[in-house]
Amino acid sequence: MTGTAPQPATSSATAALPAGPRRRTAWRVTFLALRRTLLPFVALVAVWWAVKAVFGLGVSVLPSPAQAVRSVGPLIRSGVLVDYTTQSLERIALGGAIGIAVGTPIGLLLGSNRLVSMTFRPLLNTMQGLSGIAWLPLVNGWLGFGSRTVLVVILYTVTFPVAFNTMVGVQTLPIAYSNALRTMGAGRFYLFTHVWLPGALPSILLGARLGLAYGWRALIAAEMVLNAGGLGYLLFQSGGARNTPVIVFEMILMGVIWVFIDRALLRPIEQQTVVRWGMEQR
Amino acid sequence: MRGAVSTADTKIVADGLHFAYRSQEREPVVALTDVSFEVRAGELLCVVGPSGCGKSSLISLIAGLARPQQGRVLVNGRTVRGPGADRGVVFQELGLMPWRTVNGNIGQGLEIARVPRARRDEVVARFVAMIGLGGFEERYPHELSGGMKQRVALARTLAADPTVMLMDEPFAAVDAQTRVTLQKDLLRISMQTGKTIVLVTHSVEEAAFLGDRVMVMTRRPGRVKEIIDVPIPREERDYDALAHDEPFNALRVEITNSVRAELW
Repeated sequence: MTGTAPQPATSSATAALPAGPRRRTAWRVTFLALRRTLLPFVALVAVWWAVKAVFGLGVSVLPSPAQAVRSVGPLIRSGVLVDYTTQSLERIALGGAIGIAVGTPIGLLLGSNRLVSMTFRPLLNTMQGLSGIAWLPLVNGWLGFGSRTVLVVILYTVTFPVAFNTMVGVQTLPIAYSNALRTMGAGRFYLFTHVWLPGALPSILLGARLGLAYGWRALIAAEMVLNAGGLGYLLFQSGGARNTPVIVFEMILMGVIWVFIDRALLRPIEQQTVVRWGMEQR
Repeated sequence: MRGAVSTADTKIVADGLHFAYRSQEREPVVALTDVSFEVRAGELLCVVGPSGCGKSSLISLIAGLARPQQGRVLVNGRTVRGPGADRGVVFQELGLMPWRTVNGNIGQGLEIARVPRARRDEVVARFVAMIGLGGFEERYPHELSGGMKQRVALARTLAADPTVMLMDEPFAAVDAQTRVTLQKDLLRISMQTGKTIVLVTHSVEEAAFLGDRVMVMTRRPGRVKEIIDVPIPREERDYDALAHDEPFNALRVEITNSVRAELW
């Protein structure tokens, strides 16, 4: 090699961090971040409590935070909470997985061919404006009151954001990637699997995140309407019984489950791929 | 020069190329017209000219990434009809895959050619050593400096073992100091590998230092204005020595004036 020795561009080149004081600093940072994250939630609960107290609202209108939390005991003891939660999670997992598996290749195909994307984009856009729930009456007639109908609604809701974002992801990839490989003899199939798929991954993950969030909401709505079990059904039943503590508790649970799906499932995938490759979109 | 008579010694023939494309505003732009020249086997031809004179289009046409409306390009006596592994390109934007490590990027051409794993690893290791990136094999492009990325792109093209290397402003995006190092690397590697190289640059300095011949293009629509010989063997090219070399400086001034006359 000539003259200058190559230098790494980032400090990430130094792998091992020294132990001791720096570790304690890391803990402190985590603690501060956690405190910052929790603060708005604590504030919300405080406002909730204050509203109830100031206006003297009865439990039939608004339960207190304590009442909502206490309602969980009977729900767990009777087993319905675990059953219905499991049912909803199974549905979002299956519908989400199929939706991503179907939406990604559609998006790749649309993104890699200008003519195809120009032809189908208006249709895709229209379908995005049509919520999955709007299909419910029709699908209900075809497949009846049950898991299959819920699944179709989730599938529809997840597929379009994934396809749409994948398409945009492919279309915004630098042309130099595929040109570089074409001049090394790569064919179209190789470009599919080695440029468009990995290159669109940041967008695919964004689409999956949007799709699953929409899908999770659609799931609750579909279960409420269909009497087909799941958290949505439980919510609807509690509404009929004016059991406000359970209603509020369930609303909290749905939010928490979503955060868990996002943090425990999607974020790690992102860390292992997009972030590692320096392709994170900020 | 004109009339393109191919001999065993001729690697690339450009024969009456006319190339137009549509701009962002859908306006037709004539990039090249009536362009004919030849490149000898093992030669390093530098192409200079004012910006927008179709230098990059020329690379695309030889690479087969674009098609001329008139004329043709012959490489090894065969008409170019599309991209192929016999013509490697080092792009200005590099086009390294962010999701592949240094090793993964350098070995990609061999992977496409279905070279067995063991042989591939061997070749990749040799080129990693050649560009001095030992210890960085498992790094991703975003963890490398500009100059290092540039070397990886060069090694990726070399590892695919094309007979012709096309380079489009390959050193435009790095700082001046790194550029000099990379130019020296290219000279050394070109002598080691004996590749035929066409290098497009906007820098007369770079063209005179690297080229066996320097082709000057006119302003748009680009034509071949003249081709100037640089009668200095590649092994004698040294920035410090050439800085005080009278004939070399005269040549540099000649090329500079030729390009300057084409500026708007």
